[in-house]
Amino acid sequence: MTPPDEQLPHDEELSRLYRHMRQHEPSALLDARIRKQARRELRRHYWPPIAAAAVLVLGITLALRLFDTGNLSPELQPPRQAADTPSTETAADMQGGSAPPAAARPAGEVTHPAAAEPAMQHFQATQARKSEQRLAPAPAGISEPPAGDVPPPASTRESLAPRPAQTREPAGWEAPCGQSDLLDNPDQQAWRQRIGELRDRGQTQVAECLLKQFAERFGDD
Amino acid sequence: MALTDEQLMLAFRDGDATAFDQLYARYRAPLYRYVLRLCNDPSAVEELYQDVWLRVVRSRTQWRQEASFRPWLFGIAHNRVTDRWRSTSRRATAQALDGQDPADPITPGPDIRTLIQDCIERLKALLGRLPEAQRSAFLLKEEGGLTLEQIANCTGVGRETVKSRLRYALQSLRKGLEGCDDTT
Repeated sequence: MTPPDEQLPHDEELSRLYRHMRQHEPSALLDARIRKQARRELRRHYWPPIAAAAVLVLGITLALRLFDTGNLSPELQPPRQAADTPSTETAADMQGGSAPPAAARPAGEVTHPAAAEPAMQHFQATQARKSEQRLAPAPAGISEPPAGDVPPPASTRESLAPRPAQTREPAGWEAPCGQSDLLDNPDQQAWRQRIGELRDRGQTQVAECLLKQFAERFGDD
Repeated sequence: MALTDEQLMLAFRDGDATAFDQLYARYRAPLYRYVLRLCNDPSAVEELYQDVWLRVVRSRTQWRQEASFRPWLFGIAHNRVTDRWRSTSRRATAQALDGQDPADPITPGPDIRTLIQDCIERLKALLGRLPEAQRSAFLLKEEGGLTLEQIANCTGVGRETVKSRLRYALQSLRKGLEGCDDTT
């Protein structure tokens, strides 16, 4: 409150009587109307900058989103090497990354079948693809190597990938070591027998080559 | 510690609606009475009162930290009512008064409450009959609690003019309220 001004003409009795007249106040309705109007004016003042900021944020978000989507499109994606490796991590990825890797789990804990199923399907599909690539006939223009030729180098994933027809493949890759009749033969005994025969005939290099193929195809047993 | 009027006005200027609510709560009653007594037209009071606050709201962006809120608020009200005086005739206002001669002494009744009420009614009438400049100066002092300097700034006149107006106003009121001394 402002301190009393001594220079101000004053009549205390009159002021006291005047204070009796102080019962008048604005109605609650009028109060509400004025407060509402004040808030509306505030909104009107702050709305344009807020709207501009919102549009800016929205635009940037949209641009970033479009950029990210472009990066993730299948055409632009790099080949996923990890997809060829069967593991429970793949399953975890497919389940939203919530499952911990197998190595991190306590011993005896089994991955939930539902979580492992997609990974298993993926693994089977990958194996089937690899098998098809391995057993596929030689592309046109590549002749089968003669018997006793130099065995192919150790198999690598890159060498299994299909190559253009003009490129000459190392001999014996499509048909195992030139033994084309073993191409579709799943009988391990037939493979063993052929290896033995080759050794007996002195074609040890071809026999060794076939042995490697055997090991790759059926395992070391 | 409660914020000063000036701090609240700064907060309101920066977008704090609750600061306005606090300011409004502080000044709603005195400002309303100031407009009511000064305007003397009950039908126009609400519109004028609302308009004063709207001007406060719209002027907030020009608010300066060193300014004093109370004289600024009552200054807006004074200007708004003065504008209305200029645009309307005072005849209607004069007709609204009770027609009682302010110089007539009040006959004290047996009941003191009745006497006080009579004196209040008389004061209302006397206030309504005061010249606008004197009435405004009196109300700025009583309702606004303003100093001589602040009243001078509000009304746009010198300090001596304000003093003179107040003296005349008090003399007129005292003369019309003879017999009310014991009631206060």
